[in-house]
Amino acid sequence: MLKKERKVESGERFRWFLIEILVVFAAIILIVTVFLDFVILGRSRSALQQTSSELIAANSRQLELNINSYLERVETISTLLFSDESIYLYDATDPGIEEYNKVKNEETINNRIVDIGLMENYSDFGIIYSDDHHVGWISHGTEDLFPEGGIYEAFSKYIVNEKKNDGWCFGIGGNTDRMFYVKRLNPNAILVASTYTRELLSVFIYPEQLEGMTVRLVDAEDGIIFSSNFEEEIGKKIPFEIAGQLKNDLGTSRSVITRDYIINSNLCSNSWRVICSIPTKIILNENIKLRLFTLRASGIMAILFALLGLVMIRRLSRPMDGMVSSLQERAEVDRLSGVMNKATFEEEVTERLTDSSKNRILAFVMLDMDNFKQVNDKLGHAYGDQVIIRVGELLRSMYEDDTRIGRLGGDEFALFTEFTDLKYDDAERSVKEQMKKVMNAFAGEFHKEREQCDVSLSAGVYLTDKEKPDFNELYQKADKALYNSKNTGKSRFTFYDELQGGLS
Amino acid sequence: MKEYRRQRIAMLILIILIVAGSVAIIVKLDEAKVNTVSVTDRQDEVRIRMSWWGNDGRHKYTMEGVDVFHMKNPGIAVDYRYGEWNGYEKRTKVWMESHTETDVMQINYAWLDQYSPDGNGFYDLNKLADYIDLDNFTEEEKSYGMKNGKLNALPIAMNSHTFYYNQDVLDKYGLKVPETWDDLLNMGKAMAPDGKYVLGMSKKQMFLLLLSYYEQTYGKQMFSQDGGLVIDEEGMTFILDFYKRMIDEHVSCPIELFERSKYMSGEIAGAMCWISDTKIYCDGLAETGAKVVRASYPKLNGSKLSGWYIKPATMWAISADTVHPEEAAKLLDYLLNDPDMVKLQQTEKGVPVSSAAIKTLSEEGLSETNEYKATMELNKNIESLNLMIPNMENEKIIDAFKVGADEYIFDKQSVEECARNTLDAMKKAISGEK
Repeated sequence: MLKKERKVESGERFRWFLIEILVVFAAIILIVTVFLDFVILGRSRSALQQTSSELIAANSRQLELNINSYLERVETISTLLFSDESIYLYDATDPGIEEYNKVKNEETINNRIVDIGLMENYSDFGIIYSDDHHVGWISHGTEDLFPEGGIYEAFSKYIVNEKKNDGWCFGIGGNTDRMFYVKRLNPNAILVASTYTRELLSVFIYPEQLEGMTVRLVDAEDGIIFSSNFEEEIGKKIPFEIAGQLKNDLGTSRSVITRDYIINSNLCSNSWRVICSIPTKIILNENIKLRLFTLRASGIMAILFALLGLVMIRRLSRPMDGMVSSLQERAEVDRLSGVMNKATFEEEVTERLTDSSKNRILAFVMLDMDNFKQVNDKLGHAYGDQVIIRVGELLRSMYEDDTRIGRLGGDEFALFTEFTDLKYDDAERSVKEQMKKVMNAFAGEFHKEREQCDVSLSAGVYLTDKEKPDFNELYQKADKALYNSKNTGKSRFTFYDELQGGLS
Repeated sequence: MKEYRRQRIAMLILIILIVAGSVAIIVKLDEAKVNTVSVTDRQDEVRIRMSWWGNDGRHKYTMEGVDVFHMKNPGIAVDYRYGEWNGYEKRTKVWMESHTETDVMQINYAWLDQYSPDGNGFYDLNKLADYIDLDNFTEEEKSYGMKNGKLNALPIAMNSHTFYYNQDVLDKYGLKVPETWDDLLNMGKAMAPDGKYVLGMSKKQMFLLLLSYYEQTYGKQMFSQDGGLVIDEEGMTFILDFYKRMIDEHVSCPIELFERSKYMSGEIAGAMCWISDTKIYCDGLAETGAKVVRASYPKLNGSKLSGWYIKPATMWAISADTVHPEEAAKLLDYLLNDPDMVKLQQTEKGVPVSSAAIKTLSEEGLSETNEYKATMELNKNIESLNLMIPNMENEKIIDAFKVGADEYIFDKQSVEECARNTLDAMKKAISGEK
């Protein structure tokens, strides 16, 4: 790798390191926010559900009191018929009563019924006798429910309260527009009073109802008598998702919070129930919005954080690149000669050797100045350093970037070149020519020093086409060739192969 | 290097300032929210009341109509009071005398004399002409509601009596639809052995039936135009005798024994009712599969008077005591003229008087209803019909007649004694009213 490339890589690594930190921080922001969102808002959600449930329970209780009051009013007005024995003990089926007396009795009863029911919106308010004869207001609508007769018997079945001898009923003969109150007056007479279920609208008026809440009045069989949701069919069973939560509800009041609904049920005085329900999602709507807002806000914050970080990294990276490059250069470059130090050179060459590309010729050259010690001795160490500097400059000026140049120690330098497009012989020729140029250039550059101290340059060259030679092999073989040059007169270069040939 | 350090410090300070500033703004906004007094104006609806009498069908469609009115007029809420006719007059009297009547009232024609002899008993609707489309009524139609130059009420429909018979019952006894009083008496003879009756009716219808027979026979009216009773003891004796004869000969079922179920089951062959009760006595019976026929008024050959009357079926009026006359007027206009209400009401109260209502119903196939057919029949004889004198429907007078007549019907008094007592009681009822 070239020096320039190494600098770029170092800068990239540093930038990526910063980006990694940035991403980690952004992720931490997100995680913390989501955690807070789910934990804190989760608690808030539970508190909201609980508070809403309590509010609905209070509302439901008020509505139960309203309906109880309404039922009680109907029952109380009915009891007024017991103020006169001639009314409640009268038996129209008694064959012993003279016709005239019967007419007069029933006139009296009728007048009494008119008087006590005068101000109420009754759809029925009358007395039915065991022969189905009736006095007072028994509407055609109610009569029509029993086209075959049997109205007395049918209503008598709904007197279930044995103590008060009365009862409430709904859905008689499939009719769902009115609810009936039945009370026994004597063994052959019952009072039947009814009101339209829509009258309950005035009973269930409750200021500031929760939006989305449905208020229902249901009978003991869960049949809907009244619903504030006008689209709901009266007489139909209450939806299972609500009824199912109130199974086995024997108490007078019960609150249930489910995933889908907040429900409250209150038992009325006649065993009907007021059931208030609201979809949980309506209650939690604001909470859900807040959660989404928090998540979005944290996402945006994380993105902004990342963008800000990127800008900072960009701004930081320029000076940092310089600093890193400088430090790297100090670590990798021999400060005297300006070429690679030994460790870096070895690392670079080793890295290249591990490249398994075939068809390449490797040239490893060891250079060593002859009699350099005399320069130090005669001209001083400072001059010796200048010579090293000048050798470095000479080598760097003569080789392109594709040749690695290193100072292995003292006055010893090394070159490493890869030939990928030449045959072995051509590579050998090229190295020889280059070595000649180097030797000549050295001789020209250090002419004065040669005269004063007999300085020259010896070199050993190892050329190989092996696929994966190791550094030591290259080094040792080139060094052996260098040794040969030193021993055979100096100021020359020797190819290791020639040495091998000579030996052989 | 120094420059670099300065830049970094400046950036740190900037970030700290931005964060501190943002936190301060958020806290301030939150505080502002907490400290802000939230005021919401709640516009209460104007709440008015209305009342009517009638049967189940009328109750249901009127309540439905009120719902539609509320949707069309969200600022006006309407509470309602309703009940059967029996006892309703008493309720109205309580309201009127205690000044607690509803803002918009369905009233009977007779109540104009009773509660507003000087025209001040009800609101003058002419003053609310901006809200009520009075152009839908002719001057003659409006005159029915005029008292002392003030428009006290507007008629919903014109009404008179009609007779419906169960053709299957008539066929069983080989009888034809009756046209004369003699026909009725002969029918009674045919049905009496089975304990069945030719006709059933309420107390008021019975009174008006007897009044008709009297006027046809004697050729003079029972009431003067100002509501005074002009019948003498002889006339009353004649009426009581005919009344007893009708019951004894099974021409009419005793009033107290008349139940619609007996008419529906064929125990009673026919019913005398208002045209506005057609739904109950014609359509209701027809729905059971029976064939229903309409009969003309029974007549006496050679009679100078028909003895039959026409009146505004029911009327809408506004309380003189209302504190919301504009809202009440809007509701009254809706009840009389609005297409939605007219479609709900159809001809249940008879063929409407309002031209806007007629137009709506014409588009809805009005001519197919039995009320329309009965009204057309009525129009054929319109020349022979008089406008009803309010006291003819006065419940106190009719009650006095019924209570008195019972004494003779049940053999407690002679006919002469009963006639004298009944006449006295009726006169007292009239004077009490005045």
